[in-house]
Amino acid sequence: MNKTHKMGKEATNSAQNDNAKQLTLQGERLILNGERAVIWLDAPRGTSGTPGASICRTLLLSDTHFGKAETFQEHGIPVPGGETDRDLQRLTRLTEANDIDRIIVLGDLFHSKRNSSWDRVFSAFGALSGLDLVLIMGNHDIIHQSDYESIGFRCFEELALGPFLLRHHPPENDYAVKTAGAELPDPGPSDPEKLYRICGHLHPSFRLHGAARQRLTLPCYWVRPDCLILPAFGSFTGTHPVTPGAGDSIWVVAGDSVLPAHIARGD
Amino acid sequence: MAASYFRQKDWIPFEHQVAVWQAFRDGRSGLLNAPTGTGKTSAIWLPVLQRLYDDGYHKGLRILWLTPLRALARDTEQALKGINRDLGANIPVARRTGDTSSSVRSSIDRNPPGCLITTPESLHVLISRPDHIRLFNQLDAVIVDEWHELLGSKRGVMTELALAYLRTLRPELIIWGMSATIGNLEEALHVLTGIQKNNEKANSDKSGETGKHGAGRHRIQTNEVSDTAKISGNNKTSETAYKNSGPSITPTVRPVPILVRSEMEKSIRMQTILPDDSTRFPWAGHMGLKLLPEVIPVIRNSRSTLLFTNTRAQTEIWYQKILDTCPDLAGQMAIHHGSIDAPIREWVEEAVRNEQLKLVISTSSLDLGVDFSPVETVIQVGSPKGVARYLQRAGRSGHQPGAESRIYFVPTHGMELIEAAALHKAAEERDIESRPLFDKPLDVLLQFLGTLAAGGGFDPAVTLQTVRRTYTYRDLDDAGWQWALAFLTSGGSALRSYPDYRKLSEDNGKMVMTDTRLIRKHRLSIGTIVDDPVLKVRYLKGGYIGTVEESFISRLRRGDTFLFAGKWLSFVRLKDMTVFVRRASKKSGIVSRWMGGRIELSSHLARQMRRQIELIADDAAASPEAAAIRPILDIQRQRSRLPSKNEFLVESLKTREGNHLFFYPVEGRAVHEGLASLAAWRISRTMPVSFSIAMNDFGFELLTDRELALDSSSLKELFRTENLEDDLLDAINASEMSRRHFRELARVSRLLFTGFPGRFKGSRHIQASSEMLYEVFRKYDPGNLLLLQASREVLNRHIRLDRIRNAAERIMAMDLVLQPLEKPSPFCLPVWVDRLRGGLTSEELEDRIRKMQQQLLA
Repeated sequence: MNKTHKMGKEATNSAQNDNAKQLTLQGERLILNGERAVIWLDAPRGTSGTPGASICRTLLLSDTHFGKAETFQEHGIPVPGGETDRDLQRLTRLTEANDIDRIIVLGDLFHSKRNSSWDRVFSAFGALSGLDLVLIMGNHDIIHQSDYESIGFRCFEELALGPFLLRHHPPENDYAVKTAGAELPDPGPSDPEKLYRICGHLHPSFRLHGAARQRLTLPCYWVRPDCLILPAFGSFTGTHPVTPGAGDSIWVVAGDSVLPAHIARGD
Repeated sequence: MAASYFRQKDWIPFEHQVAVWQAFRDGRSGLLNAPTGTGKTSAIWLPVLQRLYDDGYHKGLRILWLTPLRALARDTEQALKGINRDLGANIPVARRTGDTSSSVRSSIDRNPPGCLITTPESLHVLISRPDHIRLFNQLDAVIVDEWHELLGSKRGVMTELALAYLRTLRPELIIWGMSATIGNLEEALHVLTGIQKNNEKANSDKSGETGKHGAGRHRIQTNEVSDTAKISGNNKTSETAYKNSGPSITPTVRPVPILVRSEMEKSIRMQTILPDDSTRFPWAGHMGLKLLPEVIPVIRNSRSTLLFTNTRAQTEIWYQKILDTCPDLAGQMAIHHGSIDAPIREWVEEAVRNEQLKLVISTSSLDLGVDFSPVETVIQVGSPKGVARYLQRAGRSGHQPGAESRIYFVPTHGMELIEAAALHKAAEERDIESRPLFDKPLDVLLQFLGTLAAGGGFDPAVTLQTVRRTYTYRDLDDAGWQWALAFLTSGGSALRSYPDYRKLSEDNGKMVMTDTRLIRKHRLSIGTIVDDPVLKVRYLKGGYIGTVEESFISRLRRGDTFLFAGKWLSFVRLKDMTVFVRRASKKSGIVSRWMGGRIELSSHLARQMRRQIELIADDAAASPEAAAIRPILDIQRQRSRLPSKNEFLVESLKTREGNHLFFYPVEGRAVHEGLASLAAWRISRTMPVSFSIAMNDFGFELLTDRELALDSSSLKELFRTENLEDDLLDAINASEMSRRHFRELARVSRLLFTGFPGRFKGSRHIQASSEMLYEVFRKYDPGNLLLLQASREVLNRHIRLDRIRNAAERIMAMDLVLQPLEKPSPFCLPVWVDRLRGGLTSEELEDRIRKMQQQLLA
């Protein structure tokens, strides 16, 4: 790819406060939010059926894993539920507070097969009617597609939108993901391989080290030259510590703040 | 029959053997304590045979023989079959452990042997099958081998529950245990044989009641303790003891159990291998290779030697180094540890017995059972951390009756010289540790109730009585019991939080598990040993070598070389829970490291160590170890100070890392972890600060990035005994301790599911780390008793509240001396270099990150 990602002074300075950090990636303004979701300010209307506006405020999030505790319960493992409801409330709040037009979930929406929490997920998204809902299928999305559609989601294996390719897996995990082909609405740059990717799957976290042998591991946004990997939105999920390369940046989520922990060299 | 056996063998039975026969004939249960090489197996097996034949032998499963180790099961089978052959007894003996093939299992099921040798886990698996009632309806006796190994562990609690349950099926069941010497043998007897029936209310206040057949509480059996058969070494035969046979038990009332102790003592020669010049001896470290030149002649001069180390990594290193130094020993030495493939281990054991090996290097995997008569010498590298373990290892040599045991202690660093002196003093005085017991652990109970529910269901009222008849759960209260039932049926107290949960259901007053998928999962996860996930190690071309923890392999990259089972291997790839390797041509790399190498210093040994330090400080110590350590202590005196009898030394040191405070209570690392957390917690209440905590058996360190400015009197105040328990509980919850401990509980109570063998993928959706579970419980079901159990077990078993209280009282009565250091002292260095650290903080998360960021981005 010829455009390298930019994360210059302009982006860092324009962030209003710690609760969110604004980046410019591929010329697009993205806000990394302390709730572990990205707000894409001027996303192309593209797939949206919303008439009128040519741009559309898009919320990108990944790995919600709704209904995980209930899956455990079904298998005879008494893990208390609660995170699903809390995460749905967070999502609703985030959507309303930021005037969101479209939600794109980058995979692993529901943790496993349908269970009692499905109805609550259903009604939570039902209350967001009028929004464009998109699901990029992840490895946990094993329920029949029509069920996701019944909630209001349009499902894709991958989606090219503006300068980005939205997909569940990072490029290195691309094995066995077949291209859906169907319904790629905005032709954009035709070869998906060359697009900058936004994805999830990894649940990245970063280990901070301080004086006196202090250590801290926090979920993070991993900004690489080839892709942006989102932290898991779901609260009852583990994380995977990552090691950034020299050209990468890491933004950790601490409480509801987003803080730089590793800055790409050469910026 | 027994008499004729001995006549035939031309042996004279020991008195303890006679005592066991007598008791067994009377239908009494009991515990036999006798040194190895004194015929424990025949002492038990002969009366068993006698009883089986006197009763008029009939088919069916009559005897269960429980062993803590699978390897021991094989040995026992051979030993029992040997006696049977000698006597012409045709009682079928079989074994059923996790290793047993399914075809053998089903033949055992179809045609149960007279005696079945099995492990506690396999016994629970049997109970989890609905046909177990038929299987056990002929059962006469249960024998528990190496009971001291199970006692005080969760496997021991499993055994207790299973025995209590079998007693409800077979009220006249005879239970016998065999145990090495431990500090609490009488308690061990009570745990084994359980609480007498009818104890619930009727007799609880009649503590004065006596009489052999009194149906009283166990307290009453203090009378019985006087009935303990104390048997001295003289061997007078008393044939009448076992001639007069036939059952003489009164139904419904169990005869009082008996403790049979052999007073025979094995003579043990103990010696520390000392460095020529201890100033060059390392101050820290744990490999001990410095003394290799002194160890080699010991090996050469002994016909056969067992060398014990504390970690598997040490066994690998020692094996390589000895081989490098003495190439001629190749082929005459072998490695034995728990990660090595079973057939290789069996070969090693066989080779020791046949005197084919001159040296075996081993971890605790050779501590138990297996009879190694040819072994002449034992070498212990590094502190064994306890007197009992040291003596047991020493006893692996000179195994024949009357022979002398010989053990050499190899200290790995300077301070271990003090430990060596303390160890030998304690061993001479036979100052042997007790096994601390669990206090009604709910995780094991939950697992057991699941087992009963899968095995045909249980009546809650009846089962509560059964459970309360175990020593461990004797005072389980109704609330705890109701919680356990609710946990299994509806998940927990907060019903709302567990909408999809179902495990047990009620059917005609019985709690049952009907979902076959759940039953299968339950059986698979029976067992309480908590391990890191283990991976198989295999050659690319095929051939299984052993297992290794996932945490080790995750540090390796393709092509990395590591040492495993005495071989240099090159890591190729990890696939399907298997590590593929090939032989490496390079002979250097990482030594495979395993977790679990940390054993806690016993309080007995800790006390002996403090005594030794006082003696040395007062120039009153005469031991060779004391002389050897003097040069190191002289440096301690120069750089810091050597605390005298009533001084509690605290050293402070400023380095690039930050500000260090070192404390030396000499109580063992577990207690130090508690004391360190307590001190850190109390400081953190007065100012925002983050600690990194390190400890070893000798002392602990608090490391901070700011200067604390505490004087000696405020330092001493950190150990005040007011509010000790509350502050400690807060400290445990604030640190990572209960979180770490919760992992074990989560495994036992089946919160963590590691997956079906060979069906890795499907079970992925129900895998979570114990840390995630801990957080979710804290948030959504904070009243969950498993959380409370986690902090209680940390408090009572891991860091030991009683020992911390004693230590705090001791420190409060001493003069605290704060000594600033210019350079690290011999005392502080071993603590400082310890990399296994905990943390505790009272700073805001964001402030911590900001500080780290500044350092990071500066």
